[in-house]
Formats: sequence, structure tokens, C-alpha cells
Amino acid sequence: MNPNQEAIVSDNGRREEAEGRGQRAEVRGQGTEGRGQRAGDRGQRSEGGGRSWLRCWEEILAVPARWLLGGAFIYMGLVKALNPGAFLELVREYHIVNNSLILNSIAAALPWFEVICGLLLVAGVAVRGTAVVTLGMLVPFTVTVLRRALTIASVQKLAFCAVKFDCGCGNGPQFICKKLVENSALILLSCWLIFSASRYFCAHFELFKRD
Amino acid sequence: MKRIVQEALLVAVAGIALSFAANALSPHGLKLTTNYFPAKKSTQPSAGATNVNPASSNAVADLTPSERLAAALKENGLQLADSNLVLRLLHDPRYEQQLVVFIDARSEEHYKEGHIPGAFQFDHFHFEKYIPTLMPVCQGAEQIVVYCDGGDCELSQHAAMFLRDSFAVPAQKLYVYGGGINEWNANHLPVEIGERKSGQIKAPAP
Repeated sequence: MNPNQEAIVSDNGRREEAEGRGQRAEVRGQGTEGRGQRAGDRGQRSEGGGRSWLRCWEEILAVPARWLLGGAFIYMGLVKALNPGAFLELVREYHIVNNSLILNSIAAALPWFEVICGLLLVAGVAVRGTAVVTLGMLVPFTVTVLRRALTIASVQKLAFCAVKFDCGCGNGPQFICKKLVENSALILLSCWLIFSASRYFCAHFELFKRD
Repeated sequence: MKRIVQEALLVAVAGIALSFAANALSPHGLKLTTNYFPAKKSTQPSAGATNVNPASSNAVADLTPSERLAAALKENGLQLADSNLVLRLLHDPRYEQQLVVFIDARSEEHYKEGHIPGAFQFDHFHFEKYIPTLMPVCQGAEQIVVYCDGGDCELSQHAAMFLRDSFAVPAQKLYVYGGGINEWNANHLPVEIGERKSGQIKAPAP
């Protein structure tokens, strides 16, 4: 049995194999309530209809959310990967590392890493793990960009939202407030995907089999 | 949750390995062991630097970009070229003999969109592509003017320092045009489109 084929115990106690992706339901003594149920199972439910309806919509909406997050990472990564020299200059501006090998490694690998994470999300491979990784990138990036913006605002005596610079994010020079809103949205999407069980249009939702 | 963390670790490790492989295979890839910024860093941080010393920040803010650039160049043994000097050098008879050389330090895409007529391209992040053409020219030249966009652009400085440190081009030959192509365009001077000596000269609209 592959990870996407889990046993279903239906109301009459017969054991059935759910064929295909997303047809997972938790083994329960009564009923078929559980995470990951398909919309087609709704008719069999006797309780929790409202909650299941919400879950169903959450799982459907998680698909465009995943594609949006993945697409953003692919775009931002490709822009940098096609001109890593410019990205290297921008990374250097942050004065986080001075060692040229580390600096070059960051500028060389990070754009492609973003592209790979984006592709995994779009294809629906290791969705939750990849969402953890994107969250792990977005949070420190956002903090770093915020710190730099505060410094620029202080040095140039500008209002915070008037600060505009190229943060190396792949979109060229941007106003900081717009950038922070964008990053916050991407962080929320990552968090959503970590906790979502949506398997729609996923090639391989999870890499490790459940215990 | 444990499975998600394991999955994230696997994605991270495999992703990083693939990323380095992609960089190695990419025609735009960086060479990890090359120091693209060989000169010592300026003690005067740029306005956007995160490690700005509050005590010196006001002094830095008071300097014009041109003064800041001149100080940084002087510290690195290079010279600043203003628009008057650049125009004089462009009309110098030595320019035709390649004794005066202009180098555009921007990316190929920007270079082809418009560069100072006759300027060579030198994207120092992909130096191996340009050095075979550029080195004989630099060795024979008496004055070399390197430029990029101007303003906050530091590509011209880094390219000049790279030529000096990695290819032994004497510092006294090297000038950095601080105003860069932006100032050039603002002065409504002609630019050459496409390859060097393409013959497509375009004068920016006034």
C-alpha cells in the first residue's frame, strides 16, 4: 500500500482500499469523519457538516495558495539566478558576511534553491516540508530587510514608508512597506500550507509514510 | 510534526545540493572561489549599510554621492572621472587608437540597450568571457575609464579593482566615471546600441 492508499473502515465495517490520491480517511469505528475527506464523501456524514464544508473549501483554496507561493518563489529565484552577479552585489550590501566563499555560495545557491522550492510547491511534492523551508527563508529575509530599511530611514532621515531600495528579493527597487506586506502575505501562505491537508493536484504530498 | 521536520530537512539538503549543481551548470553561474570584491572595503559605509556607525552617519549623509565615491576610490588607489574629463577623453585622438579605452561594467543586457560608443563590455562576474578580448586592449591603453549606471552603482569600482588586482592593470591607468551611463544619457549624449562598433548610434531624446 502506498502512502496515499490508506484503509477505510466504512459504516458497515467493510474494509476498503481507497484508490488514488487524496482518498484518505482516518480509521474510525463510526462514520467516516476525518481529515482529507473528499467532497464526494459529504453525503455519508452524519455530523459536523458545517466544519467539513469549511474544510473542503480550505482544501480547494489551498491549491491556488500553493501555486501562488510556488510561482512567487520561481519568479523571484529565476530573476536572481539569471543575473547572480547583481544579486551578489546586493547580498554584499547587507554586510552579513565578508568571506568571499560564503558570499559567493549564498549568491550562487540561494536563487536556485528558491526556484526548486517553488517547483516543489507548484508540483505538490513534499508540500508541508517545503512550506517549512520557505517559511524558514522568508522570516529571516524579512527581518533583515526591515533592519536595513530602518537604517536607511535613520541615515537618510526619511519616513519609513518612503524608504525605497533594491532588497535583492528579485523585484528591483521597491518601497519597504509594500515589500513587507508582500512578505507577510507569503509568510501567511507558508503557514497555511504547513497546516493544510489539501492534496488536490499534488504529485506527492508527503515523502514519509505515516506511522 | 516530526515527519514534517524530516521532510523539510530532506528538501533543504537535496535542494541545496541541486542549487549548487544548477549554478555550476548555468552559463550565468558564479565561481565560488573567485573573490569578486578583492579590494579592502571602504571605511565609509554606504547609506544603505546595516552597520552604520551612528557617530559617523551624519558625516556620511552630508557628503554628496560624488564626494563619497571620490573618497572610496582614493582609498583604493583609483581616480574619479567627471563628465568633463570623460568627454575630453572621448574626443581625444588617442581614443581611436585605443590608447584611451572605455569599459562598461554592466550586464550584457544593459550594455546592449545602450553604451558609450566604442566601449568594451566587462561584466567581472563572468570575467573569463571578456578577458581574452579586453586584456590586450588594457595592456596597450594609457587611460581606461570604467563606468556603470552611476549613482549608487558600484560595479565600475569593483570591475576596476578586479582588473587591477586580478589582471595587474596599473591603478594609475584606471578611472571610474562616477556619473555613469545615467549621467551620460541625462546630458543627451549618443549611445551605441547592441554590440561594440555595431554602428547603431542613438541620440537620446532631449
